Amino acid sequence: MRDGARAIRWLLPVGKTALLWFARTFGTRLSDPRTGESIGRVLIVPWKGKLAIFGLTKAVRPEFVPQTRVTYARQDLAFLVVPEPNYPNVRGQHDSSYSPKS
Amino acid sequence: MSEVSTILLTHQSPERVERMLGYWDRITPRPTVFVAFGGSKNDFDRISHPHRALIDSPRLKTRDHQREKQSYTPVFRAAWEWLKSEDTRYVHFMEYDHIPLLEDLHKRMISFTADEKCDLAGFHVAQIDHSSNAHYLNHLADPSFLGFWERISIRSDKHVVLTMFGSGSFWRKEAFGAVANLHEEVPMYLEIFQPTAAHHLGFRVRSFREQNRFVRNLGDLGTQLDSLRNQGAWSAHPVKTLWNL
Repeated sequence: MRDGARAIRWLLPVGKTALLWFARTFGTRLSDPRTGESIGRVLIVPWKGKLAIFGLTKAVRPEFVPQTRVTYARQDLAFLVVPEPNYPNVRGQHDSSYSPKS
Repeated sequence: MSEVSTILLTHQSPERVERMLGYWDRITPRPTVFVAFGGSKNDFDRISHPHRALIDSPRLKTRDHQREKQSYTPVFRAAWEWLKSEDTRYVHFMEYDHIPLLEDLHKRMISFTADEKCDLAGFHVAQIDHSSNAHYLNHLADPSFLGFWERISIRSDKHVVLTMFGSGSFWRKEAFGAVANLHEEVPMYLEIFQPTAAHHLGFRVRSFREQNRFVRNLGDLGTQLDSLRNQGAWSAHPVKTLWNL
């Protein structure tokens, strides 16, 4: 029993490394549709009603891509590299709804 | 009046601290430097620099910095006790292993801050709310995380979350003081707390974009300093062994 637990403790990091290697080598290639910046390869797996993503190396935001057709038949989910904040100093004044410019 | 006060965070031996201060003499006059010391009381007592504080807080002395949500708030608080009476306009915070490479570093940072009209400039600054950023998702699992920003923010969008590399940052004094004195009711990792607090207190936060590539989280750039300087680096991180005897 103790040997089994030890084997699992050893196998988990090995399995994690192997999974990440596979995802980053053979996974789907993602890029930011606004800038074309490469996000890298990832493995996307349906999991308990959600999507599990393996292999990301940077922070991204999921966002559905605008479409000209009015339909749910096919919709594209893209990933955007997070922007640099560009908000003004609002000390001493009320803020309005500023949005970041990347 | 000195334009910039510099805070150096270190835990190294008094001899290495003295080496570090000697190097920094090229950048800024020594009376404008404050040493925040995270090492032992014994070592602290042997440091001769007059402007210093022993930071003996478990929020600073973490082992797994990210998962234990390491905080620099005790460092900023101690520095502020010294800074608040100093006649200075800017505050430069640096960890011991973040090395300045140019003697006119502060002049460049002041110029950048003026051009960007910002109150806080840092490295790898990004807006990470609604993203896959691992720290953001980890903090979001704490139900009190967003509530804290809702309580203290003067902005309309109270759920903006920023990140910034923790090893070096350049502040207008007012912004530094406001963040240093903000009570961190909810434990947060310093890379999220500092820029997000500055933002929600109304200050403008920007990134040293072109300099980001010279500031990394892993490795040791100690053998590449001349090369990095030639590539346009103002500073470099991490350089762990420069103060070794």
